[in-house]
Amino acid sequence: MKINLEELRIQFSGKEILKGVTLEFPAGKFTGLIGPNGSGKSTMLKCIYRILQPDRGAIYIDGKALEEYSVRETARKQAVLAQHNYYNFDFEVLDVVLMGRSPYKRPMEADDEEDYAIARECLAVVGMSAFAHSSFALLSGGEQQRIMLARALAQKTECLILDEPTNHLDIKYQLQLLNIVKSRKLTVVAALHDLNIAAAYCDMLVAMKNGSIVKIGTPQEVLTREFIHEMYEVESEIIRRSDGRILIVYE
Amino acid sequence: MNLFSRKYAVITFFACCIILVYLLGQGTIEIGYRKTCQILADIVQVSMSNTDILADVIYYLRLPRFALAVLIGCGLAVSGCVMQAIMKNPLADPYLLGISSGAGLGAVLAIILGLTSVMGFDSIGFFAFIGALAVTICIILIAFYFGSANTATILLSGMAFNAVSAACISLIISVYVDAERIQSVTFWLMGSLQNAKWENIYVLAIIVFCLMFYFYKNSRILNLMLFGDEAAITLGYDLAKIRMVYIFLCALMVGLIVYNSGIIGFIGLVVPHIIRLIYGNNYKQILPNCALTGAVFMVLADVASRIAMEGSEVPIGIVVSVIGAPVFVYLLLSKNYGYNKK
Repeated sequence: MKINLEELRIQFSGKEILKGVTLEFPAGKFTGLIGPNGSGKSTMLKCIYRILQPDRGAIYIDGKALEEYSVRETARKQAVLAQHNYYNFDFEVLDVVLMGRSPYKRPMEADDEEDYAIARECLAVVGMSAFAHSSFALLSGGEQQRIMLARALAQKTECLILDEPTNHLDIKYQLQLLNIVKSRKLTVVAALHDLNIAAAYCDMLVAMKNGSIVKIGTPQEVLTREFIHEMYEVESEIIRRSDGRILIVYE
Repeated sequence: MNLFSRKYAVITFFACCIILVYLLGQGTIEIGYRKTCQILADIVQVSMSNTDILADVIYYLRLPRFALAVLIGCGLAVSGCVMQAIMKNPLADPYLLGISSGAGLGAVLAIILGLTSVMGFDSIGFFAFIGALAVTICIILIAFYFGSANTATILLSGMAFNAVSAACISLIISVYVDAERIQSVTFWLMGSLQNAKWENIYVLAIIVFCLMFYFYKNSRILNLMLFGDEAAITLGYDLAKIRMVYIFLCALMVGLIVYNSGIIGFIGLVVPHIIRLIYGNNYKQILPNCALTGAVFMVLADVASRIAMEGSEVPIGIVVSVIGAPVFVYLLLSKNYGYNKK
């Protein structure tokens, strides 16, 4: 699934958060959005997954404007894994995953065998099959986020949007989560904070600052000493490993 | 043990039926279990003998009251349960949020202004509905425009509406000194099943059962409401419009219930909470259980109100509050407060 943004602008109480962003997220690639806090990454993603309405500009999914899709149709095309938030109510884990089947259901329609099969399969993908009948609230943060990933996978979409999904997770769970996502070969658009993680998983990086795109390219092209200094005002050293991956060491 | 299985549901259902039939025989005139069953069988077969006084007691006095208790218990428990999803707030309840009081105020206004019938229709019920709807809309506006929809904001504003409505009712009573009309006003305030009449029950039964079925079939959307509007959009449902429809339907149900029985509190809070403790939060499971438990709870309260004082009746609203208020306080204080089991 291909996503195109055209001159996307949005402002909150007079402050322009996105200043005319034009961009293409290619199909089948893992695209990472990087940039300091307040650079507009999350705002841009929220426009794509329809929580926010851009003031100007347009978003196209597979060449068709976003407004021409119903909310249900977009939910069948793109699934979202957002920052982990705490829910103050309890559900059985399998019920949470089954919610991912909602876009395929009419309001009064019940879940059928196929939905259960898909939900169980997605639980297996994230390695949480044993917890199908556990209480969601009693799981750890990392486990809960894997369940939310299973819910997103149960939507059976071509595209997965990750809105800083690994915040507050320890490194083991961060890697686990991204490994699962990577293995699914979907079109992925991910806002990421950790540059080393971005470098390890992304096919393409889009760097943003103050609501504009400053650089697009492969991790090796984007993440240079000078560029990191320009973006984050920190000194760093880039180490190139023999397998081509890069490591960023902050001074 | 899987509490959600059909087997348990069937067992619970039959257990409730047996208890309810037994309770039908209780009261000032005690009628044995076998006799009660026999009279019920006669009524079903339309072969009621006109001479049997016990059959008359059952058919004209106990059954309508009983049916009303079942409907009101179901309706209040289900509307409380649904409102908790609409407001994303575990303490939402038609009584605590002042919606019942709003309906009561509407009804009292209709009585005092003499608008009991408009164009031949009984309009008190309509006024009760308008009162309920007005308060519900005010609470929603407060919750979503003046800050977050958090527990404290909604609960406190609801209590304020409750107080305002109650004060207005008291004001009307003190200003207006028509003894007969005030008699019928006090009925709304205390809550009572005395006015159970078959013709009103039919309407209530149709509305309550249709709405219960509707909400049950829509349990997916109610679950989505708990996850929040943003998650719902990414899962393909825009809840803004649906929420308004649900609010309207809840107000309709509460308005009708208040019209039939006056203000009865706490059912919509206590019953869903007990059910949540046992079954979790999936609306597919808790809605039918709420309806059943609400009905049993209400019938029990009705029997208690009939036999607590010999020769006279304790208003059922008082009985329910005496049972419900301590449970409410317990829920507030215990760790089980909220939707989670932690």
